[in-house]
Amino acid sequence: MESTGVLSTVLFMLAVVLASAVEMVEAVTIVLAAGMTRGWRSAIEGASVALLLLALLVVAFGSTLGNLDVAVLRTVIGGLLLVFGLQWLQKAILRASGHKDKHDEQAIFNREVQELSKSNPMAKGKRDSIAFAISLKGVFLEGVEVIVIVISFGASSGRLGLAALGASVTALVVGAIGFSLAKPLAKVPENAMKLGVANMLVTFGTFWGGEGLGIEWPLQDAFILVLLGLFALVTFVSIPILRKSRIALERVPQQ
Amino acid sequence: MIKLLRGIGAFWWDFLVADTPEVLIGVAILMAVGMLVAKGASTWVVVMPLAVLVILGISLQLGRKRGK
Repeated sequence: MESTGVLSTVLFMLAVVLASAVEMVEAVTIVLAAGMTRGWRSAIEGASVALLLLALLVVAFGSTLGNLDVAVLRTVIGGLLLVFGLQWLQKAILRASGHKDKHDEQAIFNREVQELSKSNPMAKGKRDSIAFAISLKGVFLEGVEVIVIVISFGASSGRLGLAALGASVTALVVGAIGFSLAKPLAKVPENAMKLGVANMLVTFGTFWGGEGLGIEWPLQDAFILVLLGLFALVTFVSIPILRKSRIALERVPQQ
Repeated sequence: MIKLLRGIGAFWWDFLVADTPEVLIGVAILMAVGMLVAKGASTWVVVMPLAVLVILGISLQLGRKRGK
């Protein structure tokens, strides 16, 4: 493998692992809330069915996308990564600058527990349909975002197996930590991780989307680093600027 | 069946559009224009990343106005 190929593989694996970790932290919060309030069996069954559905999606879409023309594939995937990455980046920058509330896993967990405690759990030995459905929906919806990243990165780089393996191992590790601690992983710096992942998504979206459009990037794969540096620079410059504008806005009514 | 289709539609709407429709519109315009003129055009090495930053800037501005 050429050094630039190694570089892009390392970066995309980092994006897959970070995205999987962030989304799994959110999924673990939901499954923990369902398991603690309504019973573990149904919550774990729901989460397992969701993981199975996600694995099927990777196999189905991965094999279909593998047959498409590379230019078309990269244009579509580049566009998708740009949409997805820019959404994440906008939210992460607004959160970091105080324009949007930060994601609080403990608060989400408390809210879920309160909501799930409203009705009585099913009798012992029977499946609790609410715990099952909440876990399934929570893990599936959080997982779909990871799956889009895994399929996009995997199909564009021809390393779908590696991307899926990275995401699965990360999901298992985060899940195991969450369940062994039996509390939401509130101390994980989710916003900082999302900022990092979003920058990588936008970088790869621009790079692969551009390749699909016929742009010949200078330095080949090494140009990914140039793009990443540019987007990271803009991100870190915009956060303090937006923070200042928020503080200025908050001061206006007091004057 | 209709309920299922509505659910799938709502899911994809939430997934791709949600509260940032400007991102989808901006990227769609960028890719559409790129398909017409980007092939082999060396200026697009600069135009494409700058266009992405413009979309981000617009989205941040709109997001800031929308508030928390």
